Amino acid sequence: MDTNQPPSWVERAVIEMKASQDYQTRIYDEDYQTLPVPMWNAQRNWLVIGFGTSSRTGGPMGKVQSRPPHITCVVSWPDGQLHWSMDNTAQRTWPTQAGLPAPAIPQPLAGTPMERLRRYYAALSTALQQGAFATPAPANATAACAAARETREAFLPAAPYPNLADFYAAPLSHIDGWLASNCGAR
Amino acid sequence: MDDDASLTSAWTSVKNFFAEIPARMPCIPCLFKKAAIVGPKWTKAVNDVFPGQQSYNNCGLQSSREVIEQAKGKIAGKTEQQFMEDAISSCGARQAANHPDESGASSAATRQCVMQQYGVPSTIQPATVANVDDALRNGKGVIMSSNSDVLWGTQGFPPGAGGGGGHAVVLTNGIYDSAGKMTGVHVNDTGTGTQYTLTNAQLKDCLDSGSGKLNVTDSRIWPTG
Repeated sequence: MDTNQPPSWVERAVIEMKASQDYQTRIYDEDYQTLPVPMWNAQRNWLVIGFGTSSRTGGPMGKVQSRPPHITCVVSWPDGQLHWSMDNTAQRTWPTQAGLPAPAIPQPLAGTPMERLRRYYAALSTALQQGAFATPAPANATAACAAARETREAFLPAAPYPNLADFYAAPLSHIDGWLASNCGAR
Repeated sequence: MDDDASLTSAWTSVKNFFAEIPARMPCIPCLFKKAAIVGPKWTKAVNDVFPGQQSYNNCGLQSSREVIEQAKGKIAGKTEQQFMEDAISSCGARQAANHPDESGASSAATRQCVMQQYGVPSTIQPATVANVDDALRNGKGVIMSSNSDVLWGTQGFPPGAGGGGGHAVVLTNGIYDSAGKMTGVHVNDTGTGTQYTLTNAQLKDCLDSGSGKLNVTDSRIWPTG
């Protein structure tokens, strides 16, 4: 992806979140940060980003065991307002659903981590703009369904962390449910 | 006589030349500050302060220590853990439940506080390539925040190796082309325990993936030459 393109709505929201006083005072650099995951009800759409501690910044150092997010930032669509939650409230804000298996990260992955991340941000931005992940679905759902599928495909490559896979089971299940209800077979 | 005539002519030429230059001619950056020099003094300094791989979850604190020790000399008599304990008690670095193994996380504000406590004043700046270029060109200490996978992906580690965590490293110098344009940076990374370089494109991705802030010392700390 051309990094000279203007950032998508989701990327801008993430940039503004990082620039906020709350982020700068509450988040430590060694914390993990989840992808922004889409959520919705009959009234509105929003994104949730989770932050939590790992045993260490992993990789070459070995141990990476992540705890559930203890801080969440809810970004409301389309105005981009930020709402922060801490500790138990944060854990209730993050979508969970018992009994779902951890999603498998596809292999191999093409592109750099930032290319994969920007692909997800762009797909999710388009999906929101097309009315995907809304109830009811837009009257002409073709574009919304295409963007929602692209979001689904870009999701796990953008966050290829086995230690976070459990946290993504419910958000991905919600996306799959919306696709099944509104878009049918491909 | 011929010698006197040529001397007079040469002096007149010199006077005429300087008369055409405005009294307050602006400094020409590329003439006087083409680039920070990657020479033996700088190499020794970068290697001397690099502590190798960190023992805790304290990349930002170890990065701060590198900058402090380069600016002020070795911090005598303080182990890595003691340095971390001080930062926890005085600047709000994180003390984890599983202390000390998982302790030591920091933000840009934490690192600014730690460096200030050791007499190294600094600012927190937006994480842009231009700000990195300006700081390194002036030999300042720079700590960058990045997503660890974005950073380590540049060094050939497989996707997911960083676990989604953030990371902080010291940028120790720029890499410059023959025109003096920065094309990359040198890195001291206590997460991998290695020193390496990034291109400008890789640097931008790292900056975009991190906290959005840089720590930059107020004064030069790295030697030239």
